[in-house]
Amino acid sequence: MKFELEELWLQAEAVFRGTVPSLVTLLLVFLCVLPYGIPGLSKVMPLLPVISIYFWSIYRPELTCLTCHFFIGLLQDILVGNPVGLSAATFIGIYAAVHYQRQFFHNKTFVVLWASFALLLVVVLSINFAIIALYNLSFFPLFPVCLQFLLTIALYPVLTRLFQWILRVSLRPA
Amino acid sequence: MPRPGQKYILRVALPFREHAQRFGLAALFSLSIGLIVLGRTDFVPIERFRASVSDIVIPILSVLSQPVETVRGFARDIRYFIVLHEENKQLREINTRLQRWEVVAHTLERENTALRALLEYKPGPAASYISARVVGGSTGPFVRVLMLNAGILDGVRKGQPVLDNTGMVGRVVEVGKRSARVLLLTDLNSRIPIVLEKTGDRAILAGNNSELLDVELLSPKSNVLVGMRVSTSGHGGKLPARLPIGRVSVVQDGVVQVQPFVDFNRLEYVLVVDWEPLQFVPASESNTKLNNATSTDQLAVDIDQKNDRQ
Repeated sequence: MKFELEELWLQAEAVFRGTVPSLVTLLLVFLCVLPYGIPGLSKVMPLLPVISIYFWSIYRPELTCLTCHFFIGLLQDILVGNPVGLSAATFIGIYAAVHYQRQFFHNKTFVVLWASFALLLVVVLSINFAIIALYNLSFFPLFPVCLQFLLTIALYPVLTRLFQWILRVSLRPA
Repeated sequence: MPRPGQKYILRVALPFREHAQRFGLAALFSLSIGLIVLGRTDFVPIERFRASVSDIVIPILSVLSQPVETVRGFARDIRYFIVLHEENKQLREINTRLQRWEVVAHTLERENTALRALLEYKPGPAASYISARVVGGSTGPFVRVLMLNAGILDGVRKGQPVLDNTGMVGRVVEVGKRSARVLLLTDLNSRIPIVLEKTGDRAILAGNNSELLDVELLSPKSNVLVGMRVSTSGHGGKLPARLPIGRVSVVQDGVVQVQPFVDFNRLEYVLVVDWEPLQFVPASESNTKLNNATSTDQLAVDIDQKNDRQ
């Protein structure tokens, strides 16, 4: 009986470990849409879920769930008011970019990973900008996009520290 | 340590796993792109899906926004305390001015009542409001929307205008059972028929994702000046007339822009005007249905005429 309980507990822990990256990303999606009342923040809100997806795709690829990325992306689109599917495509695209370049990302220093993230973000934001401009048949001001890019890059080290702590605390090897 | 049999199975299965992952990735990516394209065509199931998901997540957002609201309230209290003396001085000045206006308003009210009695004017029903809390909003440079924690069950309908205590915020573009999405006046896709209160000139107010709103289709003969008040015209029957919007702040080289009264950064609670947009019907059915009214008063007169006929 004791053995069964232990087995059950281990299984529950394994399930929890498997969901941590998705739960963190989901929480960041919610945190991004809350009304903070800070003038101008909503227009340049950093893309926190993108940092999360990039980080977990590098450090815990076996725990990243493609279907979860898709649904979290859909949820973000619905909450934010973006065209449905845009963030889903973005999240899957980031995962794919990291997955197919995993040899490159293996054992790289923090600065290299940070620079790679910046490069990836430029590509992602440019594609998003083009899609939304086409979607609305209108050109948007570039300045807020640039500011959003800079804020996301600036928050990358802070969030990765937090993710590394989560990695140590909840995803340490059993 | 895997047995030789297991090793063989793993060697055979691994390429399949890789292929399945690639297929899954391509399928989900294609599905996302397909959804974007379908969303552009105003595909109804996608709108329903959005509304249903909003209904599900609204309670989560409501809970998560509570601590944020507490902190905002605390910050607001500190701000009020800092500007208390200056604000008190300003309020005294406003109070003196308003007392003078009160006398004028009483005189005008008496005059108005007497003139209405002469014309046998029947006032329309008083507007009612649904109050709602802002629980979420757009993030990023492309969209300007708000999420409200009130929906169909509270009486909110698509197309209804949304106000705060200073002026018009936007209008409801999507509604679920317990949630609603409001397109702000500043959004690129927002178009509102307006009137310059002083001159009576009509125009269209267009959002451009910035703080100022563009005035379009204004007659070149219009004598528009900085500081003029702008409100909804009610033209087209989709919005009630005379909802305050803002003041003209830029008139330069044919470009006219309006500064809205509403501070979109500080919205916490809003009022949804319980207003039924007019439905245009064929002439044959016009005996029994409303048509062609352009303001709340006209709508009220039409409702009264309809009631008289019945």
